[in-house]
Amino acid sequence: MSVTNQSTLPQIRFCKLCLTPDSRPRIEFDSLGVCNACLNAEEKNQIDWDIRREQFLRLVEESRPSKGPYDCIVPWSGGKDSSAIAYKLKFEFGLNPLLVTFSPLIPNDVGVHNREALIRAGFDHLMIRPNQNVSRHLARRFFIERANPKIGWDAGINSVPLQAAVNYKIPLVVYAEHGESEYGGRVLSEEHRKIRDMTEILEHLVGDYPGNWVDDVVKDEDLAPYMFPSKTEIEDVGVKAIYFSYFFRWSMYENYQYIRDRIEFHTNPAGRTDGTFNDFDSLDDKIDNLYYYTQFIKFGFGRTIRDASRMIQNGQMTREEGLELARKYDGEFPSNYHADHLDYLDLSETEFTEVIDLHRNPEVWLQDGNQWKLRFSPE
Amino acid sequence: MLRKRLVTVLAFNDGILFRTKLFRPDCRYTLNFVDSWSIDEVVVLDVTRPGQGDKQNFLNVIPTFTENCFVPLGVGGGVRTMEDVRQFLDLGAEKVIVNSGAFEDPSLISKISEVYGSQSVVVAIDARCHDDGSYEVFSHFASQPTGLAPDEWARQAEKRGAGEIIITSVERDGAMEGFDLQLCRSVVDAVTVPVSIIGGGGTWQHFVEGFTIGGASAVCTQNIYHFTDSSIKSAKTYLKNAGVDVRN
Repeated sequence: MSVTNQSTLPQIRFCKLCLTPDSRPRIEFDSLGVCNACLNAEEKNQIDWDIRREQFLRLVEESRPSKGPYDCIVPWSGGKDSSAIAYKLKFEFGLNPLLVTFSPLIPNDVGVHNREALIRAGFDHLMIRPNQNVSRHLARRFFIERANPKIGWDAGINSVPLQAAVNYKIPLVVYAEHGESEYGGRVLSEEHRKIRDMTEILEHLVGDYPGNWVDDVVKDEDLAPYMFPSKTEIEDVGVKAIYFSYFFRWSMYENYQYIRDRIEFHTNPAGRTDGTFNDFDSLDDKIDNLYYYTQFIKFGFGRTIRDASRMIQNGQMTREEGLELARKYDGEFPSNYHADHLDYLDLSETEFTEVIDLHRNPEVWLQDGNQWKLRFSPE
Repeated sequence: MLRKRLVTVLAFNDGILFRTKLFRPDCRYTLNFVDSWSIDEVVVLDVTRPGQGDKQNFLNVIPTFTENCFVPLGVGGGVRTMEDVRQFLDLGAEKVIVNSGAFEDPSLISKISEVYGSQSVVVAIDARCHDDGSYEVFSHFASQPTGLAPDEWARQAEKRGAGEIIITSVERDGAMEGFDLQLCRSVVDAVTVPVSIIGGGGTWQHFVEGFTIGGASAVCTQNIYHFTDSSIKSAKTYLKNAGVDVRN
């Protein structure tokens, strides 16, 4: 039963500088209608990055473990961002990182290739591929209930690097970017941009404690890969998780340029990815094409607006160029892997459509006969 | 012995569903689904601050529940007068939840109870824990100290005709780290009417503790994702395995 009240629907606004709407969870707009990701981008121009670099080197020195071969953990998908970080840590800063991956839901060839390409440059890699019956069951359940097949995966990707840190006693985990600052969200404090706050992460899983997912199919022990280590376990090893983006100017496009010049990094073999103009981002999981489509269904902005906004914020695209791309591609149906999605989620075409329509947010959509129309688009 | 209940509490800020944290609207939900079959009771609360919204937006929400939901519905938020009570009951609520209104006019509890019966009046108590471990009731969105201890206020409320008490730990609101069991127990021991506990429920084990250690008759959570179809089933299985008597 839906409890959204039609008569009190607010207007959706789009940021004046980029294209991000205020329907993005937790984002804040200032009085001029500018989102806090754009404000963050402006701040990045004021930062003395040489000082930040020095801070990083000091912090790394301080947290080097007294024994054991690894200096830090890099949560790693094999994509442009985490691979660029891993490469820099190893070859520019002389660290020995352990790469830790929580498996994509539906791995694909380009993802496997890109991971292999970096590993061949000389890295140790640890990967958890959880029980696939459980993984699929959770993906199906959460796709139906919340139009998000990645709820379980989100828990896994947050937990597994920390489990590794605890088990291998590696006290430093280097995450990529603080999403809340870079892409718009709630920035609790300056410290939160630098040090990953475990409570913040758990809360973004909106109170989803994986232990609550036990049912007829999922047993307690099946949930091990999804469970966060306890506070005491983390404190015993003294695990500190930091964001690379606090110390080095973050730009997804520059990460792509960096890594493609150093390893044999493949882009999407199909050309641009469904729903967007680019071919180099979020490539390693077939489910992602569906994930961003459901983002569009629920929040009214798809992958093009997401990608274009990131480039606009970093001065790599004008708003007009972004707008043109958004009109062309935003919200495009993820047809390339659609058959894989149906098979993985064990849904018929009709069931799939029913789930999608059930989750169309009335703040975003108007039903006109058998047509769905967006109530608001960026201008 | 009555079966233990699971209650979903939904907070609306100007007609829009939010999770609250430390009593402030925190996480906004988009489109949401409440399983109105397996849940035992639904409570909807208007948490709009005075002057920051249109009450009609909240009133428009209530029929969504009364029309689709076949379990008891409690409605609260800003109940000050018998007219407020009548408005909620006319829209289909079985019970009204009274909080600050009962401090402004303690006779409100007895008036509701006399006209509609004690089963229709639930008194909600928001308590903060002081550094010395003592508890104090706060009113008006937990902003005003009242000088009263929760067990004492609960006793007074029962005497005036409250049919049920909901006790909230302000510090635990939205934290999902577990209920304040000691607070719950102090109120349960003070009254004979059923006591529900809110504030801090994150895992099914927290629910079990709310019943077994806290002594609650009902546990409430404001996390909507605890109330999707599979979640309630999962929670109830967990509670049964832990020896808590719940409805299927």
